[in-house]
Amino acid sequence: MTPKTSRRVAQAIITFLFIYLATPIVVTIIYSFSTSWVKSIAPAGLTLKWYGQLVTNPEFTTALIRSLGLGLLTTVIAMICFLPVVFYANVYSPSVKSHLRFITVLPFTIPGIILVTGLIQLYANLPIPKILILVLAISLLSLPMTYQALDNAFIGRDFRAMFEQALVLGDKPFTAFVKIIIPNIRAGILVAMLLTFTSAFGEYVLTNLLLGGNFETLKIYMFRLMQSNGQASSVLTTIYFLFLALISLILIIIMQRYSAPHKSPKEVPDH
Amino acid sequence: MPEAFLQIEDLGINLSGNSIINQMNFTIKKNTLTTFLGPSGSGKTTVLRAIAGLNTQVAGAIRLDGEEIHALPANQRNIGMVFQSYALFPNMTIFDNVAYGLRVQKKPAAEIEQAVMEMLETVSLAKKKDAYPDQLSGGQKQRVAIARAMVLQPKLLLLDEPLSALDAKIRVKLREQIRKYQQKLGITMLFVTHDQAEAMAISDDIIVMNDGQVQQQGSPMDIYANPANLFMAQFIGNHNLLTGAELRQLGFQSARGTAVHDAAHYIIRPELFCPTASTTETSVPITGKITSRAVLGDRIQYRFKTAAGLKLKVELLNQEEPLPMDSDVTLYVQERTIQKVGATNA
Ligand SMILES: Nc1ncnc2c1ncn2[C@@H]1O[C@H](COP(=O)(O)OP(=O)(O)OP(=O)(O)O)[C@@H](O)[C@H]1O
Ligand SMILES: [Mg+2]
Repeated sequence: MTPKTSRRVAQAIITFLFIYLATPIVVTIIYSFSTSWVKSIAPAGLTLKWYGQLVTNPEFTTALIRSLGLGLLTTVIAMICFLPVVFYANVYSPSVKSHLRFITVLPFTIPGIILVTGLIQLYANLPIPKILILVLAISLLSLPMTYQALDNAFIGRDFRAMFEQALVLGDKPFTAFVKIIIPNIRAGILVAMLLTFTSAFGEYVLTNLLLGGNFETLKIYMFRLMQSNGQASSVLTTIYFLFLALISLILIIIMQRYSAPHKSPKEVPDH
Repeated sequence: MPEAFLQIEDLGINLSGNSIINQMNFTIKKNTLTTFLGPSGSGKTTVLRAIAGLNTQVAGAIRLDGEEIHALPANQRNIGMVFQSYALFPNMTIFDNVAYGLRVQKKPAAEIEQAVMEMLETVSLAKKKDAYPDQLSGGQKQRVAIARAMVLQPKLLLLDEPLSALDAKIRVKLREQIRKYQQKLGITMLFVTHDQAEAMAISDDIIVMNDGQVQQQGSPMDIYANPANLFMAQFIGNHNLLTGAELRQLGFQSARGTAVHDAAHYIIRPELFCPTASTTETSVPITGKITSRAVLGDRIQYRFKTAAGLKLKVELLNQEEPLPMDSDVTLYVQERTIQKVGATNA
């Protein structure tokens, strides 16, 4: 095969993959705007009716609020738990880091179903709200991503010297952390928060198994709709897709802005 | 011992179960610049961190200005520290970096403004007050780090190899400036370096350490001319270290008027060889061959092998014809310049 033909083949494969993946999305989006679309190539007409219906449906708003709440709560808890640990490991104890790296990949290897069974058996008889177990479980599942994003933020600067310098200048550890550490890793924190939020917002397996019908999140609602109302479910899918696209865009912007080697807020001329 | 301002008594430090510093003792006088000199890994940073309060798990006592401080946390010691990596806060301007400690103390804004600007003038960086650390050169960053520590008027300022990341010319300039600030502001400084010339150039007092122990403390002159032990004789300068027996073989029966002991060690400083005999002092002629020579600029460094096979280092001023290679030459050493290692006094 000449280089030219192999490039053509590669291009063809990529094009095919792109069409294969994009078609359902495009079709879903069009479907969500169509008056009716049966037994024809193109939809009969376009309308915003389905959007109106979904947005005013209390089932939708409740599910949305639940998902948002779950996402926010998980993000906050994950940050409170993991940020100090990652800071400590990076600044004070490189040996802890190797253990941490091992622990943080564990969630990849434990399937959700096993985790849930274990959690239910362990905590079933304890007076702990299931929702709390859920939030903690999701935080754990998102740990590999959260950890990686936070850990990357500590590369490239001597945070230990900076932190200790602040102490020597008379500051207390907590305020030094807030004034010196957080502002210099804020890009990493933002990325970690967005990733945790997205994974909690779209979590399905654990939520469904642990709380199921009692706590219908957006994802669970989406699956229920799929079986009953095609148009409504395509509206929901479209909204969900746009939401994820927006978060991805923000992530890309943050990463591009802060991966530049030197961020100089403004140039100050010599002299 | 006149007023000991900082007193380290039987200091012992273990890190991860290894004894790094063991029974260390020394004192520092007020308003002096003392350097801490020692090979890499000898524990200089470890001691500095204990004095600063970044490690409070230590044995023994640390007293500053008559007060026991070894149990106080770092933020209550009123000690300044400049880190080797400068540790400037990248998210703050130069002004805010220098103002950091004063703001922690909740000083009024006008007072902070005045103190910070005065300090930035002192280190010639007033024009950079709105710049960020990433926009400064290495030497400028270093001066910011020093200003940030000095503006708090600490009782003691610790500097951990503050110049090691800079190139040679700037090092010399900055070390002179640090000495100038120290004298002008009357600060007591403890300055870590592993560069002997740097230590000699700026110190009132030098503390040489090795293996977690103080090997010798004294003025630059004293440290250079009178090594207290074999480690010092080998570590400082470029001395020729000889046993008494070897010295006798060269023709010295006495050193500074005392008989040479076979088992003792002696140094002959390489710069104290003369091409001609002294007319007023007892000189001993040493004959041998030059085996190599290196022009260092102002001086020429020779390797000299005596007739009996002893190898010596010789340094002469680069002012006449260099000594010829591979033919017999005779050099003279005055008997009174031979120094016994560990002699209590000159
Ligand atoms: N956290 C630690 N755990 C165990 N040993 C340590 C630790 N930190 C330092 N050491 C050891 O303590 C010794 C002294 O280290 P220190 O950093 O004080 O040396 P130093 O004199 O400052 O050297 P350098 O000139 O290279 O900066 C070294 O042998 C080092 O390996
Ligand atoms: Mg060191």
